[in-house]
Amino acid sequence: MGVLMSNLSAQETTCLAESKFSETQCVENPGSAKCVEISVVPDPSGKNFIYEWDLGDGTLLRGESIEHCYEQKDAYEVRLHLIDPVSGLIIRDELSKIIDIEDQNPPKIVVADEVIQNTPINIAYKLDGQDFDSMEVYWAFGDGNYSCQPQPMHTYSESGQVELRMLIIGVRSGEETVLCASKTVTIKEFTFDGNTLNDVFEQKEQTLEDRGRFLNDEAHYIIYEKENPKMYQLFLIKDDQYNVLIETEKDYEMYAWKGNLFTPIQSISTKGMTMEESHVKLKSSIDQLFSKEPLHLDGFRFELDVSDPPVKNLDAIAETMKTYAHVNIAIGVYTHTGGRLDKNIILSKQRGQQVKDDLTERGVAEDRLEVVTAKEEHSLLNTCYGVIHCDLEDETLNRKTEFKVIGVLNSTF
Amino acid sequence: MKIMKQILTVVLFLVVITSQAQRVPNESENIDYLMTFGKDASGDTGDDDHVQIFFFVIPHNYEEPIYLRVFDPEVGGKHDEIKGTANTKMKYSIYGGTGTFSNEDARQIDPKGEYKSGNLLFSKVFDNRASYDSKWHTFGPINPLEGEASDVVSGRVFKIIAESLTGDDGNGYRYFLSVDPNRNLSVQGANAFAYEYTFKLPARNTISHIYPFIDNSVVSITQSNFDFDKNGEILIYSVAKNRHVGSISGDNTWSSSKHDIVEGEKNTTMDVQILKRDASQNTMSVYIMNQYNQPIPFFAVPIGGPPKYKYDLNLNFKKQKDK
Repeated sequence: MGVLMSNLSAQETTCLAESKFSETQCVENPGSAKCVEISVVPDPSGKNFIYEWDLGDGTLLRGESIEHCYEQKDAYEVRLHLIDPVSGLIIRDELSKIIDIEDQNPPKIVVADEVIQNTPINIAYKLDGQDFDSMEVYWAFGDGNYSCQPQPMHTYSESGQVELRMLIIGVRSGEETVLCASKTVTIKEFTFDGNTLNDVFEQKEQTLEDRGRFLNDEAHYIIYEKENPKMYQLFLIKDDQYNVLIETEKDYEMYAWKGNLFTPIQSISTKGMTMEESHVKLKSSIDQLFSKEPLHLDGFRFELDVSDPPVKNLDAIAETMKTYAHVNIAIGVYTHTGGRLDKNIILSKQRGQQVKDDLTERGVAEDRLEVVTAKEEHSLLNTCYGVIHCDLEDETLNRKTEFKVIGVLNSTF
Repeated sequence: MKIMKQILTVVLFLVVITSQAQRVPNESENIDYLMTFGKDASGDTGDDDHVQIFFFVIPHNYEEPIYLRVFDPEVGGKHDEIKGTANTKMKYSIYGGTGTFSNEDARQIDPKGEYKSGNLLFSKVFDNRASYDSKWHTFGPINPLEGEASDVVSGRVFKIIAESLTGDDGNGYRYFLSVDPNRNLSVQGANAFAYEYTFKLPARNTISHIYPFIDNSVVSITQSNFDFDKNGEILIYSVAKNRHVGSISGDNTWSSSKHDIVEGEKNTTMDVQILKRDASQNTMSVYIMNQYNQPIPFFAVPIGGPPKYKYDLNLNFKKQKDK
C-alpha cells in the first residue's frame, strides 16, 4: 500500500499535466449544442479585411464574430476567407476547422460537490458516446497539484473551494480532439456532526447496528389534532413558550424525529383543562417523548450482486412511514468501494430507485420518497474509502441502504 | 558566423526534404518572369542595377549531370519590354567552384566588388534574335561537383548572373534547373535563392509572394522595394503576422519599412505578399535586410512550405435554446 501510494505521487509530480493545461485551448461543455459561436481575434497590426465564413452547410456569414445554428448534426468544415474591402480580392481558406456537431458530449467529472479535508477522494469522469483511437487524461486539482492518471485519487489539505479541471486529448480518425470539463468542489473540514447521511460511517467507534448515530441531529417535533390532518411543527421560542398554542377541549397527537429515529406517537387531550393546564401538559409530554424506546427506519444491506432489497425490511419501513404520515424521507444507497466509481454511482442510483419503487408499491406516496442524488458521490464515502483492500465488515458496510427524515410534507404547513 | 552556419545547415536540411521544383520564379511565388533591363534603361523601369544574381544549391550527394535552362533569353520578343528599337544585349554567366557563394560580395544586394566570384563555367550573350523568343536555351551539362561545396547551405552552389551589356529594353526570362537538357525535370532536393529580386508583377488583383527565411539570429527585418508605383500593397505575412502593411515605393523611388520579429517567427519562412492593384505592366525590385543590415535570402521554394498565420480562434458551442 505504501509503495503504491509513493508511485502514484511520483507520477503526479512528473507528468505533463500542468503544461498541457497551459498549452491547450479547450471549449468546455459544448453539450448537445447545434449552434456555434465562432470568432477570431484580428492581428491588431494587420491589414483590415472583411472576414467571410463558409460554415460548411452552404451558409456564408461575415464578421470577426459570427453565430450559426446547424439544422442537422454532422461534421462540418468551417473555412475562413478574407476579402480586401478596397479591391474586393478574396483570399480563400485562411483557416479551416472541422466542427463535429454530433459528437460533442462533454466529459462529466464524477466527484462529490463537497469533500472532506484530508480525506482521499476518488476522482473520475464519464464520457458518453465518444470513441477515441487513443486518449490522454489530465487533471488540475485546483490546489496547485496535477495528475496524468485517468482516475486519480487526491487529498485536499485545505478547506475551501477549488476549481477541479480535467482535459482529455484524444485522437479520433486521425484528428486530435480536445475535451474538457471543470467542477467547483467544496472542501469541508472534517467533522463528526452526523447531520448528513454521507458521513455516518466516519464514526468508527460505532457499530453497524448502532441506532444512536443520529443523536447529534436536531430533534424535530410535530403536533396535530387527532381528527384533523393539519399539522404543526413545534418550536420552543423561549423558556416554556412554543410557537403553537394548543386549544382546550381538543385531542392531539404528537411525535418527534431525529435522524432516522421516531418517538412513539403520544396522545394529548386537553379536554376539561384550562389553557394553562393544557400548556403544562404539552411541556411534560414533550419531555417524555424521547424517554421511550424510539422506532427506527432501519437500514438494510443489499446482498452482493443481488438487485432486490430484502422484503421484510421494506415491509417494516412502509409500515413506519404510514404511521408517521407527515414526513418525507431520503433514501441513500451505498455500494462497496471495489470496482469503478462511476459504475458504483449508477448502481447506487439504481438501487435507490428500486427501494423507492418497492415502497411506493407498498402504499407510501411517491412524493414522500427521495433518492438522494445531490450527495450521491458522498454516499460512496466510508471508513475504508481510499483503501485498496477493505476488510469484510467495511465492504459490507458499503452496501448499506440508509433512510433519514428530511422534512415534513409541504401541504401540512 | 558559426551560429549562422548552424542555422543555415538546418535550413538546407529542410530544403532537401521539401523542394522538388526549381523553376525560377517558382510557381508558388506567382511571379511569371524575372526582369533585367538594359544598362541604359532608367530607374522607372523598376530595375535598379540591371543585374540579377541567382544561386542554385544541389545536394552534396547528387552526382548526375545537371542543366541550367533559360526561357526566352533574348530581348526583343514576347515577355520582353521593348523601348523603341530592340537594342539590348544580355549576358548569362554560370559560376561554380571556390568563391561562388562564399565570397561576401556575391551575397549582397548590389553587384559590386567581386560579385562575379568563382570559376566561370558557361557564358552566352543574347540579343534580339527571334530564334530564342519564347524558347529554352540550355547550359550544360554541368558536373554537380563543380559547384562550390558549402557547409552553410549543405550543398554545392552554382551562381548565374544575368547582366545587360547594352540597350534600354527589358528582358523577361525564367530559369529551370533540370536533369534533362531538353525537358524541365527537377533535381531532387535542389532549391534556388537570391538576395535581391527584380521581376515583372502579374496582372491586376493578384498576389505575388516572396519567401525569405527568418533564422534564429533575426530580431527585425527591413523590407525595401523599388518602383512599385504605389500600385497596391505590400504585406508582411508569417505565423505571427497577419499581413502587416509594409511601406510601398512610388515611381523610380525606394521605400522601406522595419518589422520586428517575434520568437515564433524564428526558423520559419516569411511571406512578403505583393498585391498589385491595376492591370498596368510594372517591374519592381525587392530586398530584405536583417538588423545587422545583412541581406536575407529569398527561396524559390519556401522552406517548410508557405507560412500560415496562427489565428486565435474562439469556438463556443451553444444550445439552441440559449440563442
